Amino acid sequence: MQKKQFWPLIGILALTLVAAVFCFPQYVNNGIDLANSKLAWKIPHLVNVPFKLGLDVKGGIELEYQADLSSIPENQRSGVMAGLRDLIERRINVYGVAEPLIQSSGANRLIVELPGVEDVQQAINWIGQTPWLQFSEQRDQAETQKILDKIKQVQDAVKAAQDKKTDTQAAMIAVPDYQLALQNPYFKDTDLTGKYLKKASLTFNQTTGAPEVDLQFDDQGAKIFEDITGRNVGKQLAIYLDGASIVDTNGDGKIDGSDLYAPRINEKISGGKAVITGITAVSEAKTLVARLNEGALPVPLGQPISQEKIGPTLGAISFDQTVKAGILGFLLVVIFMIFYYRLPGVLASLALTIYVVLLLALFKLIGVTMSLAAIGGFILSVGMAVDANVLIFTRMKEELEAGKTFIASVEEGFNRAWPAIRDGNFTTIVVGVILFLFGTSFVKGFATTLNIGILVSMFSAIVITRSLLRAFAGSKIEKVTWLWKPLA
Amino acid sequence: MIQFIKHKNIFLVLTLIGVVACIAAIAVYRLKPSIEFTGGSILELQYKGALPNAAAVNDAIKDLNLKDISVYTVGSDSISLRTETLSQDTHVKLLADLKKTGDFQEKSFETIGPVVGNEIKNRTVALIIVSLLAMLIYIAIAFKNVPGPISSWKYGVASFAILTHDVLVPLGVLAVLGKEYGVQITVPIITALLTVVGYAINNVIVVYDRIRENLTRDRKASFEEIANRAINQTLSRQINTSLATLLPVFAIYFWGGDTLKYFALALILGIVTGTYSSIFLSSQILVVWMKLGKKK
Repeated sequence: MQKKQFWPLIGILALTLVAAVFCFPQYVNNGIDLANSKLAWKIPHLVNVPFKLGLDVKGGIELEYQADLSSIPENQRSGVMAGLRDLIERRINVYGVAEPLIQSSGANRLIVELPGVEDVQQAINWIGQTPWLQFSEQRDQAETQKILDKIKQVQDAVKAAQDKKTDTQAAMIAVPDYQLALQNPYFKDTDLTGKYLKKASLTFNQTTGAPEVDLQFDDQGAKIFEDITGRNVGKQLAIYLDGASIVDTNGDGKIDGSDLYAPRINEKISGGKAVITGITAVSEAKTLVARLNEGALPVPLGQPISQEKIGPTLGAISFDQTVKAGILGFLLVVIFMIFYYRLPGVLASLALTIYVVLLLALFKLIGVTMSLAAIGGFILSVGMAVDANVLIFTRMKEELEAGKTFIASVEEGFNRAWPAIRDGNFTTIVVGVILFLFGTSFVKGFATTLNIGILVSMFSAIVITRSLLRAFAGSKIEKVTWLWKPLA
Repeated sequence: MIQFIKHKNIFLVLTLIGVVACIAAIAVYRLKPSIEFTGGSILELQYKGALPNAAAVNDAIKDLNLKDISVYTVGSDSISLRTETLSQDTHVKLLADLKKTGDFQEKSFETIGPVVGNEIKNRTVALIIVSLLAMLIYIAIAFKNVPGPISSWKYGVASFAILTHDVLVPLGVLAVLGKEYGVQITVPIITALLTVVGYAINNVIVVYDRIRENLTRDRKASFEEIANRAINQTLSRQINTSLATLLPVFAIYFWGGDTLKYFALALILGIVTGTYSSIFLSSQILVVWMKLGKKK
């Protein structure tokens, strides 16, 4: 082998190894574990970026909603949609669904994907409630103490029941006025709800430039607000959405009982206009505004306009079957290529293997969602990728038969096959791009992997197959003519 | 060398019969659009015991007065039930009523409202029109400058006729399968056929390219000889490429599960038809056309 032909091979090998390790790091990690345990090394594990799987292979529920925006002024609609999206996300997070996906689609649609969820009814219930914004005032100390005492009393009773292994629920109900313990000890609901809030908006303080949130109540709301502020000067007013704090105040990324958003009332406010100050970050103010508006302009989501449920078993079976079909299809192509084209067939199969590894790594890197359609496009691209090799080998054979030297035949074969390879892939890509741009989600998934596959397959044929063929130039194998002769 | 041109009349007559049969099948049986386009619901139920027959299923749910009910068996242990668009409430009632037919598990459920169905239909029609236009433009550019006895626009018209044939035949077969097995025209099937259009056009171009190349190299031979030589020169490429593409698609059809089965079938039908027409139809049409022109 000449030096000139050596370096491309090393490059290809290195690229393939990196791609393979990136695709399947678990095998390397197993090796690292072994080495660490045997030799007391401390090599860290490689990061395993998982493949993004589509809902049809993971199993789960997809719901599509259409929001009724008819009552919302044109210029506020996109804000309302963003608010709805945020609202659904927050609710789903409360229920602990792993990797939910909520996308806006068009002007008034929302698509909600809930992997691993099986109960459609329950999911619709979570999402479908109208947002509920509630303003709550501080209880006086005696009241707070009374509730805290009651909570303690109930907790003791429950604990005693647990120790005795008797019914804890009955023990709780046995405590007089136990309902008191279920209440929030620090705040109680007022009559002021989202119904009376006209809108919230983000403003900036004219002197300090700090972000502020303006609240605008309607006439009835203004009166209630005046009452509340009048009797609570110096105290806090808590704001709840769907029964939980309106924002995440302790910064732990989730909203739960440990969060409380309650600005202090500085004075009695009449006229229905209030300003919340003391907000440090603009992003915080924006979230607050969006959520206040959700509660102020509740847009009913109603029933989903389309839904899809894939049982987890079906998803897993489909995935296994499709992957198995892909592997079998790949093997069939390899057998066919080697049987028909002999040594060039072996090289083409090697190139095809590298192609598959590179493509998988690319899918992982870009984060292509592997739905069944996407896997189908990928498998089809494996078959199509062979076309370039077939064209090249056919031309090569003609050149060899015309009595040219091996290396001249290789180069000539590539040069003469190139226009056909280019044109052939071009038409498929044109259709592929149109499918991607105009298609629905199934079509998009299919077109994505097919297009990427075709682009990589051209690289594979032009660079990888050619480098592999060139490596034989000037070797003894080059002279063994039957190895290079296709069947027909 | 195989005489593809000499026996052209046999191929043309066979093709004509095939095309007429396919058009008849489409006209008589109609293509059944899936719920993706019409709106509707589809449930797949996996039974633990014996599968109920369609009558039993219909009987169990007759109180709900649902429209457009059809029941098909899927594999050995499941049935698929299609109806009008179901609300969540009706869906729950339907499942309760179906309990009468045996012990089952709901494998999948899909419901598409009429609004979404209409939208998917419009988008798919746009998709088909844009794809075909793009192919037309491509053909026009590809055959701008062809030397020889046939003017370039005739290559274009011939390619388009062949593409129509390549789509018509699979659709005809699908119409028959729709009648026999309830196969519907779904978004995946249309995707498959459009992909085949992009793929098949290429088979035709490979042959026409060879004709073009042979015409510039050999000015003495007749067009029939040149065309026949072009088919023979490209024959192994056409067959091998199709075979290599078909192998993985067959794997999807046989082992890839139910979701992609008919998608793979549409690809198979399209690829086979496209390969057939590139070998037995594309050049033959040109030769016949030229002869007709000369007789005038």
